[in-house]
Amino acid sequence: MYKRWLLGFLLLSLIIASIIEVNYQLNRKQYYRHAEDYAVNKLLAQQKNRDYKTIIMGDSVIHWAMEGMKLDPSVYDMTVTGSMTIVGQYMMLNRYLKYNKAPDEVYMFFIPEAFKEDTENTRPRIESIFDEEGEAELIKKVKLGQFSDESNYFYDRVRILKPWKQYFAKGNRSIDKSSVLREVSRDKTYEIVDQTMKERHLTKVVENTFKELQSLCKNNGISLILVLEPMQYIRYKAYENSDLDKFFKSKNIGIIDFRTIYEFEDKLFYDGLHLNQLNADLFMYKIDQNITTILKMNN
Amino acid sequence: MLFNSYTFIFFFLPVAFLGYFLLNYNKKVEGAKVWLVASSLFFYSWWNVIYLPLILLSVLLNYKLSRVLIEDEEGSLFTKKQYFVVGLVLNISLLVYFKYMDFFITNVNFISGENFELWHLALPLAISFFTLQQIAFLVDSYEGLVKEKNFLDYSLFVTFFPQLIAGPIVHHQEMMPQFSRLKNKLFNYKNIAAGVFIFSIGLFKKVVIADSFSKWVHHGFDHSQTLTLIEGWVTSLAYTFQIYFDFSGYTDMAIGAALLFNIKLPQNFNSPYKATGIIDYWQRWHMTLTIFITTYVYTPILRSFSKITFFKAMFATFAAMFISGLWHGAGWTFIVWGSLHGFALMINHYWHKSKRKMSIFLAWFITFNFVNITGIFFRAENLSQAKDILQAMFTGNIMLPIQLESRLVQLKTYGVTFGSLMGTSRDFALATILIVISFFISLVLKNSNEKIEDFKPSFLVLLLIVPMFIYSIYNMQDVSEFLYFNF
Repeated sequence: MYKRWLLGFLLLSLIIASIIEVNYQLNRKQYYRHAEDYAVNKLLAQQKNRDYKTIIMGDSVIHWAMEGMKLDPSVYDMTVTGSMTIVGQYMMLNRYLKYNKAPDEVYMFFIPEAFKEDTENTRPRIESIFDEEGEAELIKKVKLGQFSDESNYFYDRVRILKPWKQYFAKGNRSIDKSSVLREVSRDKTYEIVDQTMKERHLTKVVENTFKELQSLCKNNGISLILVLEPMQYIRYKAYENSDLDKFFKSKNIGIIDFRTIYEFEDKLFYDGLHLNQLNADLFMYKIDQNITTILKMNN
Repeated sequence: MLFNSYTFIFFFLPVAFLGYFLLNYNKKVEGAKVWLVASSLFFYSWWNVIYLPLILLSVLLNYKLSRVLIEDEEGSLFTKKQYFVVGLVLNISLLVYFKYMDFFITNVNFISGENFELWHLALPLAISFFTLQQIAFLVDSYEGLVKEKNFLDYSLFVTFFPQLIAGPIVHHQEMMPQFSRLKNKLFNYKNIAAGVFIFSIGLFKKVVIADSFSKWVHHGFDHSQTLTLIEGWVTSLAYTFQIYFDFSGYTDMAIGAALLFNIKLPQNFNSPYKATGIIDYWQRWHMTLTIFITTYVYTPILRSFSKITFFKAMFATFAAMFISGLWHGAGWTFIVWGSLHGFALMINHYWHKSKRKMSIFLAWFITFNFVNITGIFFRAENLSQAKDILQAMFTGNIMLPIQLESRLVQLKTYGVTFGSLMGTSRDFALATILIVISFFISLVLKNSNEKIEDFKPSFLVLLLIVPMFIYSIYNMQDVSEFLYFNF
């Protein structure tokens, strides 16, 4: 009886695992690395031929900070819920311009690591997925690698089973568990960030993509404004004097460093990365006062 | 190595299991034991091989001392008592050296105004557990209660991997005979099925329930200064349930893994949150520690008095809980936690002595809240953080979820505000739902021990347990440590 039960346990486990595997094989897409956000779907779901004067681009830090804010009708929020590399930002803007009118200005918020990740890394810390028709080809032109995440066999399979996770992500801000855990040991966090900044150099792929991004904006008459987003001190410290910092300086690329506008206290990043509600309000207020009028005030 | 890791489940456990029974099948009984000891040491070293010599030395030394105590040879250089004291001092010194030096220096610095440098010694894994078990063995050897002399059995008793890292704290009298029992060398499908069943439950408790609470606990304690009243309560309740599901989940996995080898580990939890008194609570929570503290701390203190009175018994109770607090960690928060439980036990004993009555619900309510509130000291990094959370829980601002603002706007006149609780409304909602579910599981459902006693290899059980196991396996990507690894 017990022997049969054990066999049943093994058999049923194998059946479920097989169903998961089949689902994975049927549904997985060959996508090109640079995320796991729903930016692609979000963009595709939008109407085409839009005419905005300002576009805000950025990752989850900016996305959740802007959540619930009423924007001026001339401003389009193109931030994403997850992380985003600079290559990813370029691809998104490129896609937007393919279907819509060019805006006057693009505010591109970034974290230093966004310039540090490209598809040559086998295990990027941040990545973006692009799998729309033609995009893969476009990406290949900048010599990006094909994405194949086998770093965690189980996770790779289970995330396909979790469409509800993305559903819940829409319009909701969530405490990032891994960030919270990193937050527990700030020295360790600094070490990791510092290591990333030192070990992962600004690659030719990223440099070229950045040049493409600049050309894209120039050809469409767009002012590209790069803004170094609010970060905890440890992350900022890792950025200072990094090769990225030197790159901007040597190329005379002006960026707006948000710390020169307002220095958020470390403890007010609720999970070490994202701003809490109070500071999200403050962040938007500071943008409105110092960078651009994007909020419809008194609303 | 963590129980909730792919390496353990898919590599270590099957290899250790097959190797053990293969050797036994070929009548290499001693070889099987050696295999199990070697596997256990491999399991221990996986974490950090640097501590391997420490545990080996501790096992060798304690075994040698116990032999001296058991045999009590004539013409020996020292008396039996002297050997015993040396053994105790060595074990306690080891613990003090690795666990309490920085705490001691910090306090000396505070009192004297000096600035002695801290040693920052890393706490060797499981040192608190294997030292306790060996102290118990030495005490029993001294008192003539130890019969077993086999070194291999002794090594296995200390290092047996299911209980090595975080208990249950096993006693040599219940473990060593099991290692020698011949029928335990045979492949036992009943034990294997029960082991798989309880291991799956433990894995689910740890991976799905306890780990879900962890981010809210971290978030709450890290932002203790800015918590509102509701956030304070959610944080403390989240921790109360996290530690229970984490530790009892670990214990279930340990019991399950041991059962695969036909070894029965003692029960460590018996629905502690159903307790209706603090005495009752300690008979249900970390039961093996309670037994150890009672036998090897409380009783010797009591026996040191010439005449036992209620007052002296209460003193012994408090002292035992104070030591228990200190054993859990080198910090004032643990001392406060242990002392508060000591006081509560004294009050509870006095209550029983005076034969007063209380309704069951009220008794449960007081006990649960006491455990929940004192748990804050157990988790807090320092007393100030604990104070902040307590302040939030009792005098914090009342902020309700922003979604309720339109319906409850009139409450604003009473000072109630509306906003995003816990950083995000989604997290607040999820944490609240999970707390309600956890109350249901802890108070209404049968505990793991009852489940294993009732275990029947039915198809229905299979349909329930396999999805739990698979779900846990596929969700192990955010591997976190067990909370009791720190103690």
